[in-house]
Amino acid sequence: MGVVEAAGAICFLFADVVYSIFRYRFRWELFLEQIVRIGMRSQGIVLITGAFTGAVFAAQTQFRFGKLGLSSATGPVVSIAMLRELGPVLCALMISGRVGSAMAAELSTMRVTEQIDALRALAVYPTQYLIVPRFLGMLVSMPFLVALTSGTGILLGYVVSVLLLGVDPAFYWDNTIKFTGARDIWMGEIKALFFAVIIVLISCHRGLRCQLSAEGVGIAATEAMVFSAITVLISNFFFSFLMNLILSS
Amino acid sequence: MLLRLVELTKSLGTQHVLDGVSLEVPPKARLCVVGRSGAGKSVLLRLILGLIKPDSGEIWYGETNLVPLGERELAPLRREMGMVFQNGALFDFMNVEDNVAFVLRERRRPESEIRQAVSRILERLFLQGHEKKMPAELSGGMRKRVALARAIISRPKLILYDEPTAGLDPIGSTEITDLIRCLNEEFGATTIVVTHDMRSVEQIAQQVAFLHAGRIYKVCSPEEFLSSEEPVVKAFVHGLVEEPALGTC
Repeated sequence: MGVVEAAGAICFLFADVVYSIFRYRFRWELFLEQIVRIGMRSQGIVLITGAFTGAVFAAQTQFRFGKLGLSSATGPVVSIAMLRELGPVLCALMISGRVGSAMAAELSTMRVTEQIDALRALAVYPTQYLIVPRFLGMLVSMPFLVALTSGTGILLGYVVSVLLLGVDPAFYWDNTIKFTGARDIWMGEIKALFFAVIIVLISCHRGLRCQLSAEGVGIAATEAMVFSAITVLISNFFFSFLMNLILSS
Repeated sequence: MLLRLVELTKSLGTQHVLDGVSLEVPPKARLCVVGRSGAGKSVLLRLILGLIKPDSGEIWYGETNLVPLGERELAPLRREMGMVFQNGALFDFMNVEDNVAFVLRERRRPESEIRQAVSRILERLFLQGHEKKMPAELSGGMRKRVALARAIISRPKLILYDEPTAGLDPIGSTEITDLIRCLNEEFGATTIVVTHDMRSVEQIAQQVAFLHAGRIYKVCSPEEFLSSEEPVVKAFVHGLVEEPALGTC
């Protein structure tokens, strides 16, 4: 499937999801199930990702900045980088691998075993039953997961800088708070929502369009992860650029 | 007529599967659609249910032509139909009880009524004691019976069976065909069975429609069909091979 065709199909899926949210009854049980699967069960993986990214980033920054006498800048650099870029992007990459591929595999298996046709035969609209809960579950979970990634990154950055590398804690916090603004937090959170939409739509699209074979299920899961990750990385650049223009003006 | 198919055509890729199929099914009838593998029998059922659209032709359910209808308009009509898929298409994330109760829960019936109906139907289909089992834990015959229970629990007016005896041993096959006949007599639902199993035809059918070369070649009683001297019908019924068979030495 060509990129343009796939992009078009994803736009239609998005429109269908939005329509289904307002047109059909809301399924709280399925929505909460997705919150648990996406949000709660991904906490461990994003905690580790955020913590060690923050730690290594703080260490590398301090190694270089320390030589230049700029140790006081380590805190703000780590916090801004974690909040604006590393937190949202790395969290999105981990979620596309853990959740996106699972979504695609699940939906494609349902397609191959005719369960999606069975839903339609039983007068249940598959987008409403399968996609809407995943979409909303991801939309609600991602901002929390990104906050968790960035927060643990900043925290472990502090631990590494202050406890291991001897940066003055008062300086570190003072400068971190001074140079980190609410807009840095918002930028990360808006990105979280944006990436959530990308991951869930691409993953569900791959799952619903898989080839009808066992190999097709595997391909759908792989493609969901790869395409989501690539789209997150590419769109992050343009999104950051745009957000900087908007927020700085 | 409950169902009327008018000059239906359907191609899948480059293959013309159905090439002008016309058929009439009166209310409460038991019709077997027979034909060779790949003749388009399952496609015909999917067309009737609106899971796929024909390239041309009309499908009249009562006074309504199903062909131009979208998913939303089809939903109330699908509630009057039931379908038993070839491999059951049971929801693999639900146990037997929840699979069977699914339709009634979707229609928001009171939980006490649902429990009663499920218990009654599971008993009728000899599935009591298996309520908590997952589909993966069931034998082929049991899966078919659960699918049957799910299809008939809402008392549909029209039940479609896609190869209900495929992959079953002779005893399992007889159990299913007996059930299909009994349920038709009990509930009075119009029954369309797609099969190439001649024993099923003998046991179930009041009428047989023979699908050959993309068209309905013959509609007659099972006795007439099984004793037909027409070369095409005779070859199909008795498994006579016109060209050298693949397994011939």
